[in-house]
Amino acid sequence: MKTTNAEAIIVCNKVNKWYGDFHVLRDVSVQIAQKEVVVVIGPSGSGKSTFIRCINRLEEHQEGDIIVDGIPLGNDVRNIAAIRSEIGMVFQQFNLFPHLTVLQNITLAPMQVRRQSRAEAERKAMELLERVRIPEQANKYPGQLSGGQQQRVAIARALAMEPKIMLFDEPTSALDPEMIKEVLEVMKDLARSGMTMICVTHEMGFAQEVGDRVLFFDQGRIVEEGTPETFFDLSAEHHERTRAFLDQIL
Amino acid sequence: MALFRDERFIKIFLQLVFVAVFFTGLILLVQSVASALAANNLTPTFAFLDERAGFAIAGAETYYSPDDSYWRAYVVGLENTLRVIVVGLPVTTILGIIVGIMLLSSNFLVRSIAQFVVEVLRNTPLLVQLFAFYYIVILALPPVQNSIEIPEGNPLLVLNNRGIVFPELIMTPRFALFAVIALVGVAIGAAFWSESGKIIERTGRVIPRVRGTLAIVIGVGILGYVVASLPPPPTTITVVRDGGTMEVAVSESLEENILTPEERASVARTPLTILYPQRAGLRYQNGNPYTATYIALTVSLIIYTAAFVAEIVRAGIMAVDRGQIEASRALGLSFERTLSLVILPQALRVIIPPLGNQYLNLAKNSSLAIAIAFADLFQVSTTIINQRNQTVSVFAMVMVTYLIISLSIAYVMNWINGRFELVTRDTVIKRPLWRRLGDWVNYTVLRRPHVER
Repeated sequence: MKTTNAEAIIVCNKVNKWYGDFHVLRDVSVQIAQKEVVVVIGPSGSGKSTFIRCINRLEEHQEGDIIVDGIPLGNDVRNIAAIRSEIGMVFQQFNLFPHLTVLQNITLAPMQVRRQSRAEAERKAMELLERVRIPEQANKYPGQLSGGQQQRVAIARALAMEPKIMLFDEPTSALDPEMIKEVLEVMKDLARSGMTMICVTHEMGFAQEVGDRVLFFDQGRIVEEGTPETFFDLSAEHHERTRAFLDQIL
Repeated sequence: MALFRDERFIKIFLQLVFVAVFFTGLILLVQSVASALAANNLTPTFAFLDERAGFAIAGAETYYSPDDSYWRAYVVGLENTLRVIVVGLPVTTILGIIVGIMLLSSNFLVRSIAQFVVEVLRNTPLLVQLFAFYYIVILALPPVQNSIEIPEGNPLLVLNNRGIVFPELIMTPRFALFAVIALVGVAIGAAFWSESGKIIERTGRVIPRVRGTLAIVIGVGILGYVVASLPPPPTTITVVRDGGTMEVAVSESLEENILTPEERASVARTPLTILYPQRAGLRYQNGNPYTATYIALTVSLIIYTAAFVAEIVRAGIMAVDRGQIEASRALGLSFERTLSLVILPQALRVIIPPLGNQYLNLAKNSSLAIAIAFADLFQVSTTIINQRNQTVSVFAMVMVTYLIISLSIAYVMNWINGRFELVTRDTVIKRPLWRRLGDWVNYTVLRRPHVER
């Protein structure tokens, strides 16, 4: 998918961030179009998680502009709330609420933030559970589910707020191999349904199958970007960092 | 297979041996104590409890006299202990939560002060704090004849080195009407609460539920108070003085201050009337008095225990995974909702078990009352022992009483803890006792096979 300024839903312009003296994001500029699926890869500590956490303000960037759906992200709490309501996020450690049932986990935010009625929120929640293929687990607690099931609940919980954009922060890294597949299937369905997605992941198969674009991060910079076909093509021309990384993983 | 090599037999045999040894030891101990006491003419008995105690209890003059029995004195001591605990536990909890949140404050000054105070309180002995508070703060107050009255004349608070006195609120005959109307208000408020809750669940509409309910309850309460105050008060009152009855004008009698509290209540215009403490010689009449020793003990226990509770609250909130807060923020939940719906329910799970321990500590530490001669359960008991030499029986009573208090607190805390427990794959849903008994009879006695349900 080609990206032009007009249809870009996320615009990052020269974003910089420091943890104390450590320069974790350096001049990150990128535009992401609606319905685009962007896969972010790179060695650990390269700033890729920090980058997507800046987009919904779980981390603060110190320089540069981030504009989501036309709303500039800054210190204005209203803008932060507006942007968060457009973005769903899925974490590596699921972060489900352990004291609430699966159904309560999914309906909490729609009822408290969107002021939906319980009946409506629960009807939507059951639809989403069908979509992630675990409707029978609705009344269990997260602690009673497998890791893969928990992560699918987390995806359903994020989707319940009807976001325009979904961020995935290494969603399969804490899972056993046989559970990775079930979560990736759900994510692929989501990508095919036209959701704008940014995924930090090590699943190269996922990137090749549904990714529109790959961003390669190293030392806080976007070193290289391209379509999955060109990016994973070892015969193509690559930055030396990219080549070293691809040699490791392919 | 020889019986002695059968694992099942060995287990049962060892248990039987242990039970036999334990009870033999116990019987020998009881026998030797009993015979030693009998040889000194001190056979334990509870017969003395009916006899005249003969000692006074400070602060209990209005409902206990030395002519009452030892049992009555013991009960007065128990009541004093319970007064300390019942006031101490809730106040400690509230203070501990406030200081615990201060410990987590991002404001440097607030956090540092809270840390300093908590460290000082946690690291000095309670007995020292109790003495310091009693001698430095309470006994530094002026004597009765120079009491501090706030405000002067009709005081809401009287401070002196015997303790403090608050005014008394007494119910007048008009209170019944007010109570009926107020109860109707509470009923309407409760109906509004539950109906608005249903509407919110059904439609998601925003209804100011708390404020609405409060407005109804308070509004109807005020209305009831006004309505009950409407009938004009009597202008004259019949009083009984020196055997004869006489009719006096209310206004005059109030000015000259000759009415008893009951008589004043009967002519008051409002459902509640306030009785201000008044000094009569070296003591105060009317009002609710609290002795200096009671205040010193209760306040010291509260402050000391609250320091520990604060640490527990701090640790409990810190124990909630950061990811929980991030997930809440990503979902757009506000800070207050994150705190009340996500953080606190999980923090309470960590807080409640050690909090129960602190409650037990407060209850048991109340026996330090003896150091400042506050007439609690233990102090009264030692007086009884000194008079009657019935050491074994009185200590048995004291221990059983404290045990009942502690077990009651522990039982309540266990129940609360069970309600906050997380359900995981290892959770065993505990079946009710009668059902488990039935299972035991079925499977062990009747030897019916287990059936999966």
